[in-house]
Amino acid sequence: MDGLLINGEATTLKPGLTMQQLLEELGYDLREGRFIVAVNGSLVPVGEWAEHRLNPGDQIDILGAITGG
Amino acid sequence: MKDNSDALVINREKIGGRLWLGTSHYPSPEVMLRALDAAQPGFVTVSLRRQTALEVADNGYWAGLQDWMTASDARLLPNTAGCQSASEAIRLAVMARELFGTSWIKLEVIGDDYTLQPHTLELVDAATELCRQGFDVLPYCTDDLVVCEALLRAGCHGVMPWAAPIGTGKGLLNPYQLRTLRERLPEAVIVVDAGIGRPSQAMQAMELGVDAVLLNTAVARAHDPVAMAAAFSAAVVGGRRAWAAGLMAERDIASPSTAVAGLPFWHQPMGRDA
Repeated sequence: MDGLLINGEATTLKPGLTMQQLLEELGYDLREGRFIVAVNGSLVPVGEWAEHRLNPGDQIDILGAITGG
Repeated sequence: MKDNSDALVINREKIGGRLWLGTSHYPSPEVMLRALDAAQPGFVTVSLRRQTALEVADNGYWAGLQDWMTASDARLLPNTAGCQSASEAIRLAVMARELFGTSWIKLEVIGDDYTLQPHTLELVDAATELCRQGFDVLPYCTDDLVVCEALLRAGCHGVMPWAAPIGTGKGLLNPYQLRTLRERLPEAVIVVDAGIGRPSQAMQAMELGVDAVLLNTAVARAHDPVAMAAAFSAAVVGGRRAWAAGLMAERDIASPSTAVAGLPFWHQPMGRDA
């Protein structure tokens, strides 16, 4: 797959973007602490978003806080 | 009223209460926060899931909880709910530490979808690795003594055996086993987690000498969650005090509370019977 898989869904977004650019494109509020991001199951810390470039077929998980027991 | 003379200490950290509360299933963020106020929990459990930009932006429960936490001495306890293998749980724990800014983790690895019984083998593997990585691990486990011993050897700060399957409200299905855990692991932190449905059941657990009780549904699904949180808080304090006071030994033979000696008219014919 050439596109990016975001939260389990295939998208037409193309690789080559940085993580920061992708999140802005998707409309996420980038204030620190609101969510975290993993690529192919590995955490990408906030400080690396501007530099982390996405590759074809990357699986991206964007995780936020929910209630839990 | 908080009783600081009997504080719960885990890994040298003083925990603010022996009732720990989950945050799911409340009818609104406002009711959740008022229930937390009423419970004054030591830990508050949360989790993490995939979210869209809109879900991140419109997250009233989390926004409210963050504000509430700043004015509370409660700690966040992220969970790894839904994980079914050690590798999944380890990965989610790493994400949780980053999102919530805490190394405390309620480690859950589920082995059976029907009963939500912990997968104890995967659980010990996950606990071993997370302890190695410096997490403060509190594992949700069964009441199996040998498993609890293995989790403590792995470096967990305590164990959190179930009373009954999650969300059932059945109470302590095997009090004998919980009593055995207390007797055999006298120095370990033991927290009864899951299956508590009534304040009397929380009190029963505390009377057995466990250190804390973690529950969610029984409060959140009550007709009045705020009042129920207060009821559980009182029950946990009462149960702890009863344990500390030393319960009488149960016996099979009746024994009068009032002295028999000196009873007047003993075997004397009276009135009509004369």
